[in-house]
Amino acid sequence: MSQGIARPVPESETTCFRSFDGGYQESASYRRPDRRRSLEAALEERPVIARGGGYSYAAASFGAGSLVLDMTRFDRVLRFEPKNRLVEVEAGMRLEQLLALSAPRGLMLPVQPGYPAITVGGCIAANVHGKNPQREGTFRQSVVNLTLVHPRLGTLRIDRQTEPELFELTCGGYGLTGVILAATLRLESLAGFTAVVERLPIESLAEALARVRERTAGASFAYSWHDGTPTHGRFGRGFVYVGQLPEGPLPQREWLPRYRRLTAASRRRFGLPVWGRTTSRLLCAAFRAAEAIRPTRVEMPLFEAIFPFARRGEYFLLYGRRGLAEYQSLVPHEAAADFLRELERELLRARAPVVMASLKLFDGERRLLRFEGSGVCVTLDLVRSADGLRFLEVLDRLTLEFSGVPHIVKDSRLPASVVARSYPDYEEFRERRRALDPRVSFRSELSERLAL
Amino acid sequence: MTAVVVGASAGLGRALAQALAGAGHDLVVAASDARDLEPLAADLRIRFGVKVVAVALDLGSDSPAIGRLREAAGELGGADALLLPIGWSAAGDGAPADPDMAGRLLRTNFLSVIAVVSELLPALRQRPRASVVGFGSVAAARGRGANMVYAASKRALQTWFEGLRHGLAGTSVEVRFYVLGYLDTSLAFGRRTLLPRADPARLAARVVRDLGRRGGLVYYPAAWRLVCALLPLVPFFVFKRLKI
Repeated sequence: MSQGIARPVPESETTCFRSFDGGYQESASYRRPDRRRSLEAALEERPVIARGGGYSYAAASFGAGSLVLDMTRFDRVLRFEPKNRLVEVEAGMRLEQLLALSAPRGLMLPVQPGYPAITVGGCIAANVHGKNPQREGTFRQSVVNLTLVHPRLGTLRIDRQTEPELFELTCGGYGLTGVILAATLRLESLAGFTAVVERLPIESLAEALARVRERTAGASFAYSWHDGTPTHGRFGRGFVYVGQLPEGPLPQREWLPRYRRLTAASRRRFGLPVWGRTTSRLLCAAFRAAEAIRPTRVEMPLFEAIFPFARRGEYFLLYGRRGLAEYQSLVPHEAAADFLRELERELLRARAPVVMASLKLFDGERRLLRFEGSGVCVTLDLVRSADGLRFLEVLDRLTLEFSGVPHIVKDSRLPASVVARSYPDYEEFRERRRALDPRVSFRSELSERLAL
Repeated sequence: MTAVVVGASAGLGRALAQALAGAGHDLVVAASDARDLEPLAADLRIRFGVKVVAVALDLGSDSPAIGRLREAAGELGGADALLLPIGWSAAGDGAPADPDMAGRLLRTNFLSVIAVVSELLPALRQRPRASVVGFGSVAAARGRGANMVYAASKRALQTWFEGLRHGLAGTSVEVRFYVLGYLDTSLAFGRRTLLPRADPARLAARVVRDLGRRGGLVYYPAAWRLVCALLPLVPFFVFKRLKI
């Protein structure tokens, strides 16, 4: 244990950090504070950036010469009030830990991104979304209050009433407003621990959009999956998945499922990329065939329904060392059909190396740099080849043309010009962040690239 | 069972507190900073449903309020196990050394352990079975030009625990001493280490499993037993050239 006098400057390690998509890497010093005193000592350095699980596709938690603060040792439960459906946890707590803790009491977080090792701090900083953003909104809706550590302002406990501006800026603030130390989160009730997922075959993007629109309101979640390879000059064959969480038995006590945890570093284990035009065609066809012979309604453990990539980590490995390219665009409802038509046209024209595509619905308000608003969220995963990267620029153009916004943490390449033109509050975010942190204590590759 | 863990807020101490709470034991947790203890205590209460009393103590100070440990253990019905995962190292621990730093290191790593054990021993001896567990370091195997006072404090501690085990032989109190190699905690963070760093959670599980068994000296990871046996045999003209 560290004693009264200031511990000597804690040691830093140097390591090569990578964005999860493999698109950006940089060596940086990092520390893993495990006490308040060592966290505060680290904050005397400048610039710094907090890091959680490290699952952002963009370089949001390292880069630009910043000292990286690995927050995963701050992962404790501070308060749990099942009756009020409130839990206060430290920011380094992973979603799987929180689910394990809350599920036996019939509670869970309403908004959960697809990988269990993502931390609460990362969810807040990126203002992530879950399986049904139309119903649940985004992560910030679950945040009741935040504890923020800032080198100039000290330790602050903030909420929507006491510090509305800082609170709003921190939710979806990419870690640039301070180090998130803890958060109180509102949970929702959980009736059972099994999900029932219905599968509807679809032939096109337009059909998927219609089905997803039809089914989202009455379901726990609804999204589409599309084979990324065109067949007979058409794109979009796949399935719509509609999930329900029926009543059923809950786990009796805290439990953690086993799976092999993937990190941005271990994702690169497979040297050569397997995904390519031919292999994508074969593997997607095989997946479609395998799905087609399964019953149209399947029961699966809730954990797998919430975190589909926990047991499908191979999907990311198959992109090989050079990584993948993902693009996520949120297009207003009125423009969605035209956007999808144009997207299909461009896909066929460019023969882009798309592996899969997906649609889901959003509802909310477009504010600051948050990926939020009312519309259709279109996701594309591509091979990270020259062709794939070129197509990302086409997607930039389409997104701007149809008044969409690109998801900032999904693309390590996204240029500042696209963000500045698509997000109406770009300047406001930039000014408010600069006013809060004039000496730029917090910086990452993302913040530098986007000129924040 | 009730256990007292001194140095519980981080590293091995935190892993021990979690392992003990996971096994259903009530706990007194002590460390220097209340801001670290409160989250730990809350976490253990909520997740494991055990009773936890937190005591903030500065073991490096001249007169830490050690009596509060006894009172806290009393609140939980008396302690059955005392675990002392204390290890503080400082920069500038070479020659010449700052005497204040040296004094603080000795108080923290050595003298405070004697004081805590002495404070709780009378109550421990009243229990039908009790354990005292100390933690040393492979750094004590042979003195080097770095971490000098730290290594000396750990060697003193190891000798004192030998004496404690001898003195308590035949009583209800078992004495166990773990000589630790590198662990993946902030003590070893950022340093190049001779052998890979061990996971403190695995060590903690082992320590909890060993509680109540016969006492003794344990090297962890086990490979260090051999290293520690051989290191003193290396002739000095060779040893002085070793970059360790």
